[in-house]
Amino acid sequence: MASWTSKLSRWAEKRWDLKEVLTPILDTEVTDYKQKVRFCWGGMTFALIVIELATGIFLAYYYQPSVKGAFQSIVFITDQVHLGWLIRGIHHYASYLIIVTVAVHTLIVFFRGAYKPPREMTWVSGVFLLLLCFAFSFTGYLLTWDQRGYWATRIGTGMASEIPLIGEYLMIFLQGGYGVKQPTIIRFYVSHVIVLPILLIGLLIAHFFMIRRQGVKEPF
Amino acid sequence: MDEKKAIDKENPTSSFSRRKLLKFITAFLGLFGLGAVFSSTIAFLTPPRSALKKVGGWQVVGNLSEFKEALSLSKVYFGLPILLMKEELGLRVFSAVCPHLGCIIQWDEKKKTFLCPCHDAIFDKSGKVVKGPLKDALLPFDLKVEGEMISVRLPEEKLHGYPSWFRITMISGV
Ligand code: HEM
Ligand code: FES
Repeated sequence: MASWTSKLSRWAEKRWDLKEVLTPILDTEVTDYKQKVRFCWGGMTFALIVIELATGIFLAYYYQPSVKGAFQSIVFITDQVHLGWLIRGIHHYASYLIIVTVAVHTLIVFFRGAYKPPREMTWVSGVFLLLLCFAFSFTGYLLTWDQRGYWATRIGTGMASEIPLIGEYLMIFLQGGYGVKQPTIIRFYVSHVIVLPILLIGLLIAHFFMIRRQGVKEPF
Repeated sequence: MDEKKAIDKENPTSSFSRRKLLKFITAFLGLFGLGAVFSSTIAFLTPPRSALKKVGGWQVVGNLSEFKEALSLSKVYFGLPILLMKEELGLRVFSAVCPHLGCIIQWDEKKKTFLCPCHDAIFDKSGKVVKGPLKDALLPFDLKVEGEMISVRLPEEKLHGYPSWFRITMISGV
């Protein structure tokens, strides 16, 4: 008797002719040099990003982006919601790990010279991905609305204000006003859960498309 | 030579043709449209003037009788931490926000100096920097006493010369 997986695949095959679509995507040889740890950091970053997206969606069911509600809802998630502490903990620690893996990935790409033509645009998309990672961290940090998050944001927007000419405007733009207050929470929240994820997914598609078309750079 | 010119004439893309003009106009309008969308987005996200509320004016923050227990009082002015001081120089008020990076300074009664916990800045009792990673003195507030009541006011004109973030934070309240 055929296994249930092959039954399922035959069932799907009959309807959508999936082999034709999937074979060119899945049928790639993973050569030896790709199995080195140094080629894994981009993939690790991606795995962590998937984890962040998943846990982030869970958190969004309870989080309240307001001066009154933010910290309370964080405490509620941690102490009351079933497995809330776990979801929040994973979201929290994975966000730190992403900075580590993306930094290592960038350095390895740099020192291997993998940014050179014809892969320049992979590098450029990567730079934007790196900036996005920082933007995620910066906006996410405020959301707990505790002393640490509040002051980190004050320092961050204060740094922006030192940029010549546009600094003051930029600070007010980031904060949504003169101070770090309710409008700041909303701004950071919408950026963190809507705008940045859309940009991230778009850039990841571009990044991966180029890598699949070109293959990773071979060792020297 | 002549032959080549004749060919060029028949090939509309090789000289300035109607097609080229139309392409140019489309590109121009396209760029203009993108610019309009982009600049409107930025304008939308810029907080409108009416949302930029400044704090200012006189606010009663304390009472002279409170100085019986201590020579320095921590108070708030529209959410901003301030320090009321009573010493030889008389009654004085300073913003407690360190002009270096914004931590909250404290008065050290033994040494008669202000101390910032973040990067160890020290200010003398007139607010001038004694030591530390900054040049700006503490911001003195305007002060008046009516009966027993102490009122203070943010002196907006004195904010000039402080870093941008400090000026914006001061007028925002906290
Ligand atoms: C969100 C962050 C990112 C993710 C999820 C990601 C993911 C990946 C993955 C899975 C690979 C293929 C395997 C590998 O070499 O690790 C890769 C390759 C590459 N990435 Fe990234 N990446 C990210 C950020 C960046 C950054 C910040 C840069 C550089 C500024 C960058 C530049 C590159 C380049 C040039 C390659 C090709 C490497 C080669 O051919 O050996 N990426 N990325
Ligand atoms: S913030 Fe006060 S010394 Fe740095």
